[in-house]
Amino acid sequence: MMSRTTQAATLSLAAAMFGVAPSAAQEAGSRQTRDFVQAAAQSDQFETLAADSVLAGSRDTEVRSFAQEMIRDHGGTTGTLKAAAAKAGIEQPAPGIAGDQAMFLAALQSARGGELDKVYARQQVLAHRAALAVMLVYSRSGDDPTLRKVAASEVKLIESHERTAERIAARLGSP
Amino acid sequence: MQDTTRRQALKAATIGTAAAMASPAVAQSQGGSARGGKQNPRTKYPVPPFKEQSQPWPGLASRMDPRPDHGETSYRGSGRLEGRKALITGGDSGMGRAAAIAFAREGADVAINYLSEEEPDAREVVDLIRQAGRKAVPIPGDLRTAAFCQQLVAQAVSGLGGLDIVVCNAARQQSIPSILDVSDEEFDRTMKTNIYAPFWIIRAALPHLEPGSAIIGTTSEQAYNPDPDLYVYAQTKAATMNYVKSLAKQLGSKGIRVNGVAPGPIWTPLQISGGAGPAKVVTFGATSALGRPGQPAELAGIFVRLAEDDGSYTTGNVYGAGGGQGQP
Repeated sequence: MMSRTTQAATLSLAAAMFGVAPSAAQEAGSRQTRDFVQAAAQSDQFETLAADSVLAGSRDTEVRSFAQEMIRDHGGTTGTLKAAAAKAGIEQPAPGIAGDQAMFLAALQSARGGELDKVYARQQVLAHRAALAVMLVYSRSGDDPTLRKVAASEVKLIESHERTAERIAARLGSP
Repeated sequence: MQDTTRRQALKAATIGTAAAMASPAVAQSQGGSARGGKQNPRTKYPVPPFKEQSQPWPGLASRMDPRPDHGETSYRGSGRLEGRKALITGGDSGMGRAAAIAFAREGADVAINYLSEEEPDAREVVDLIRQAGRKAVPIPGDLRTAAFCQQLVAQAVSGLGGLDIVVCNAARQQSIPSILDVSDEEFDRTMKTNIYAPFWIIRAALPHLEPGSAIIGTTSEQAYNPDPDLYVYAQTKAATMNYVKSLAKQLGSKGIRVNGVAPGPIWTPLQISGGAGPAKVVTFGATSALGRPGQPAELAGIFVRLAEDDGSYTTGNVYGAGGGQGQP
């Protein structure tokens, strides 16, 4: 599980990563924009995989309905993101999840019963905080107007997911 | 259910993409025509999410969805193990089956051991070995006693007319999230199958092994980076990784090589019969850098390499197929 210190480090790392950087010669879009598209796509994919896993093992009504909401909402944001990337002339994001997300998913895969619900809720709080940081930074300082709009529109959605995840985590007594 | 519909749609889309992107690839994995060339390892085989499924231990490959690929239609031999005589435990399905098919097509006669519940899978393997023009010696039985392990080696030696490749591959794996739920019986069963049986088998086989023989143990990425629910299984794989190294030093003087194979998450019956929990099965392999589980067929060439005479300087080593998880 990610400690608060690690979490702070992750957020500042995310902020550093999405600062303005010169773009590589042949690739369309700035590095900032390409990194944003990749991070947003990975976050969507992680949400879908985590929801798939939790739905296979959870009997908690609220957890299940949250997971189904994640599949629906993050399927939607992926579509929006890909369309915006195409419109902005940015290469489509590569499939897959990030290393820290793979560790989260592995922990989730190994959990069972009530523990599965608790781990999921805790991860969802953290994952949405990380995603929110990515969206906030790009929505404020992103250099592509189309993708900046996407980031801005996701902020509210992710904030709402995070609030729900926090409520579920509190109810379940997630560590 | 909406969720099921989405999965099916996703699966259909994936298959469509894979087919569109790499039709020769599909031909190779299903029709056995193309060799060489290159395919995208991400899309070469099925990707998660998978259907929720479980079978009673030890599970059958023939009832898995999707069915694992053991190289049935794709593996083509070129005489790399001509005239060799191999015993493979757990040879009915999974990596043992992939090794059995490859060994036979490389020219080896093959004895396979399996549990009696696995007879339907084993029968398919026997047919495949015979179709390759080699002798198949099926030896069902539970490895948890020294007496059976001795008998297994004796039957393999008499059935094959000798022995020069021993693959200790059979394993027990159960996902149990808390040590508080691990019974003495479960712990003992795993230790007997995964640690005692290779000891009994190798000890019994050694007098029959001439210089040039090879011993191969199946270890795992779990040996280095264990999942919390695989506390029992993972430590047996660490033991396997270790005995490979001590025995390589011990048997070097006899001209016998000992090596290990370390798979990452591989789509085998062991996983869907209690080896992985439901939350792991549906997203199995998504944690790897390639985004999917490995198929047993993707390890066949490693077993062949470690057994063949061309690999004569490789001993005390562990070869992996880990999907990018960073462990040897």
